[in-house]
Amino acid sequence: MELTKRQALFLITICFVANKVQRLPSLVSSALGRHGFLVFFAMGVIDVLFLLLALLFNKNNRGKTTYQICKTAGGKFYAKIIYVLLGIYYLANALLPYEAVHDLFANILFDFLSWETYSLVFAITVFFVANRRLKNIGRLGEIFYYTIALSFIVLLVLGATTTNYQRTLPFADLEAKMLIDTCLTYSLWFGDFLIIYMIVGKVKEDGKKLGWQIILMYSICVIVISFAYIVFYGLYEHLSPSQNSLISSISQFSLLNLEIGRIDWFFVLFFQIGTVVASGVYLHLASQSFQEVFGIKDKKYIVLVLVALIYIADIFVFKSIQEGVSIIAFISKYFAISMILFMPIILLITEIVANKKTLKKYNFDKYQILYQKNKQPQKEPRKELKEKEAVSE
Amino acid sequence: MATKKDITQKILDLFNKNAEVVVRKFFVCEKHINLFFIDCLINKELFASGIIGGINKLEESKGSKEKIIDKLEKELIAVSTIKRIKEEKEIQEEIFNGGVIIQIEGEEWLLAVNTAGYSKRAITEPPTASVVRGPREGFIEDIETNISLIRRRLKTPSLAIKRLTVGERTNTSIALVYLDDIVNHKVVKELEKNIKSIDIDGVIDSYYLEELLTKSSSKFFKKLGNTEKPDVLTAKILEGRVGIIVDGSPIVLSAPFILFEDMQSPGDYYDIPQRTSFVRFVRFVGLILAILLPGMYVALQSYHYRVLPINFLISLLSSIEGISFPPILEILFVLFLFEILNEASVRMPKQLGMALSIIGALVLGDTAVQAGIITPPSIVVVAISGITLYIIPNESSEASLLRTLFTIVGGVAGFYGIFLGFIILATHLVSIQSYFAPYMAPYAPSVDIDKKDGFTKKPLSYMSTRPQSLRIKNIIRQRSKTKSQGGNADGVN
Repeated sequence: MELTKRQALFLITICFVANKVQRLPSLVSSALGRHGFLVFFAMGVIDVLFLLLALLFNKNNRGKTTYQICKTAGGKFYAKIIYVLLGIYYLANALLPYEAVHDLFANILFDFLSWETYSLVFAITVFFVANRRLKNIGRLGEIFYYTIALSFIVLLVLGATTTNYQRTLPFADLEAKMLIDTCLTYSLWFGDFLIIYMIVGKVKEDGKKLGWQIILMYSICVIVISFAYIVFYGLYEHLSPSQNSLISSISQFSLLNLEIGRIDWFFVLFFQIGTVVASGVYLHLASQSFQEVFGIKDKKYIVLVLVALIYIADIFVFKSIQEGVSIIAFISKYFAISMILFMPIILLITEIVANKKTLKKYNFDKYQILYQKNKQPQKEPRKELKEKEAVSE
Repeated sequence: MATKKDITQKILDLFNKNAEVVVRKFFVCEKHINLFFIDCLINKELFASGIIGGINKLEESKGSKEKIIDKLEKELIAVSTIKRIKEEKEIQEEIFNGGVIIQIEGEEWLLAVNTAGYSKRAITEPPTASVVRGPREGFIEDIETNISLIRRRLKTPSLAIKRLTVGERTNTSIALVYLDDIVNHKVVKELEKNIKSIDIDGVIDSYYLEELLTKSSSKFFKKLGNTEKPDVLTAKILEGRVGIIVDGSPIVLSAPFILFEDMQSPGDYYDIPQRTSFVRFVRFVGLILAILLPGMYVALQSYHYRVLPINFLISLLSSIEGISFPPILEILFVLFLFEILNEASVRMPKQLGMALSIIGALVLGDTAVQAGIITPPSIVVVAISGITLYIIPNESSEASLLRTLFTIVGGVAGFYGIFLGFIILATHLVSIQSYFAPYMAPYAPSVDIDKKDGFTKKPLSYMSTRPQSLRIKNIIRQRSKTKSQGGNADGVN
C-alpha cells in the first residue's frame, strides 16, 4: 500500500485549495463580479456530489486499481482509453499550479525575473517531486499540510479583518446562464476528486474506507474558498480582475503590515509549497496513467517528458497569462467538465460490470473445481478388502 | 607441528619475526613449555602470579599420570578465560588481543589465556554531551568496557551481543548490541550482512563504519545515530534499536536512525516535560535559522527589501551604505571568515583561545566593518546562524553545508530559490529510509503514538509504547499507565 488514509486526505485537500486561490478568483471576478463566489460554491457542490460517486467506486474496488477494474470490465483497450483521458486531465491540472507560481514570482515578488531561465529551476523541482513514489509525495503533503493550512488561515484572517463586505451585496441578482457559462469556462480548476481514481487500491485503509472525513474536509474547503472570494472581492471590488492572485493580494491592506513589514509574504510563500506539491501530485498521477497506457517500466522518462511538455507550454504556448487562460478555458469548456460529470458515472458502471464479471468467473471457477472433483474416478477397494470379501463368500 | 623447534619457529613466523612478540621458555616436569605474548598488551600482574605461578605449581604434581596440558588448564582456569587452539589465525588473534599462548612439548593443542591488560582511558563525562542532571559516564575506546557499561544497565538475558570483525589489517572488533525480544530482526540481519560485506584494510573509528554502512546514493545525511553516553544507548536499545560498538572508538552507533533523534538531547529525559518541549521548539527554530537565515538575509537585501518594515529598512540602508560588495559576496565572505575562525579554534592550543577570540571578533570584525568590507547586520546574521548551528551538534556538518548552499541560492534566485531548494530538501528527506525506518518519522509518515516524544514531550507515564516507526517486535513499554495521584496511600487527599 502506498498511502495512508491521512496522506490521501491531505493530498486531495492541498490539491483542492492550491489551485483555486491563485489566478482563478480574479478571472471569475472579471466574468461575474460580486457573484463570483457562486461559481466556487456551485462547482464545489458538484464536486462534493461526484466525490460521493468516487468514494462509492473506492468502496467497492475489492483491492483492485482503477486500471484493473477497467481491464476486467472492458478489456485492455477500454482501460487504456480511460487512462489516457485521466492522464490528460491530470496533466492539464498540473499546469495550473505551474502557472500560479510563474505568476507569483515573475510578476509579484521580483522586479525582474527571467522566467525562461527560472522556469527551468521550477521544472526541475516539480520533476524531483513527481518522480518520487506516491508514498513519499504523501509524506511531503503530511509535513507541509499544517503549514499550508495555517498560512492560508492567517492570510484569510488578515484579509477578512480589512475587507468591505458591503461590496459583495446584494447577493443573488444574477442570470443562471451566466453562472453556468462561467462554471463551464473554469471547470478545469475543479474536479480534484478525480485524484481518487488513481489512488484506488493503493490506500492503506485498515478496514475502514475513505469516507466521511474526505467529504467533510472537501465541504469545509468549498465554504472557506467561497468566503475567500468574498473577502477578495470586498477588498478590490472592480479592481479584482486586475489582481494577479488572491493569495498574494488578500492581506495587502492589513494594518499589521505597516508595523511589521510585509510579513504576510512569508505566509504566501509557505502556502505556495502547496502549489508545488499539487503540481507534483498531478504530474505523478499523469505519469502513472501514461505508464499503464504505454507499458513503460521506468516512470522517470514519462515524468521527464511531461515536465518538458509543461515547460514548453508555459514558455512558448502561454506567452501571456491572458493567452494561457483562454487556452485553459477552451480545454475546460469541453474536456474538463465532461471529465467531472461523466467520468465518475462511467467508472461506477465499469466497476459494477467488473464486479459482476469477477463474480461470474469466480462461480465458474468454483463450478469447474467441483466438476473436476466429481469427475475423478472412485478409488478401487483395497486388495485386502477384496480378498476378505472373497473369503467370506 | 612436529618438533619443538618447528612449532616455536612457526609461531614466530606467523608474526613476521615481529620483535615485540616475546617467547618465554620453561622446563617443567621434563617438558619444554613456551609462552608467546606481546609484552605491552598483557596484564603483567596476571601474567606473573597467574600463569607463571600456575606453571610452577606443575612441579608439585610431578608424579601424577594426568597430561600436563590438562593439569595446566585446570590451574589456569581460575586465572582467566582459557581455550585450546591450533589454527594459525586463532594464534594471531589471541596474541594481538593481549592473550598468552602456551605451547607444551609434544602437544598438538596450544593453550590461549586471556590476559589483556593494555592501558586505557578512564571513564569520564563526554565533552559533547554533558548534562546538568543525569548520568555522567561516557564510552571509552575499549570495546569490552563499553559493553560492560551497557550490560550493567540492562540486566536481562535477552540482551544479545553479536561479535564481528572488520578490517583486513586492523581486525577491529565490532559488537552489535540489542534486545533480542524487542528488536526488528531484519535490521540485525541487514547490519550483519552489510558489515560482513565490508572489505577494507582498516577501521580506525566508528565513523568509518557509519559511512561504509550507508548506501552511496544518499550519503549526505547520516543514516546511523551516534552517542558517547551509555545511558543514551541503553535508552535506544530499549526502544528496539541496535547499538554498534566499534573497538577503538568512544562513539557508539545505533540503527535505525531517524532525523528527529538529533532534536532529542540526553538532558531532555531528566527535566520536566514542559521545559523539554520548549527547548525542543527552540532547537527546531535554531536549526531553521542556522540553515536559512544568511540566505534569507541575502534574498531580502537583494530582491525583496519591500518585505521589511519601513523603519527597519531605513536603518538597514544606513548601515549598509558605502559597502561596495553585493550582499551575497559579503555574507559568503563573513561565513568563510567564520569557518576559518572555527577551524582555528578547534586546532589551536587552549592557551591561545583568548587571543584568537580577540583577534577574530574584535580586531578582524571591527576593522572589517570600519574599512567598509562588511556590514554590522551581516555579522549579526552570521553570528546568529553560527551559534544556532551548534544547538544540534550532531547536525552541524550537514547544516553548515546547507547554510552555504542556501546563501548562494538566496543570492542568485532570492526567495524563489530558497523556496524551491527547501522543497527539494524536504522531498529528499521524506524519501530516505534508515534500516527500514522512515527518516522523517514520526511526522512523515505521521505516527501519532510516537509523537509523545516528538516536538513536545509527554510525561514518562504516558509513554506506554516503543516507537512504532522502527517496526519492532514488541511495542509495549509500560503495561499500566501509572499516574501520580498526589494523595496518600489510601487514596484520600
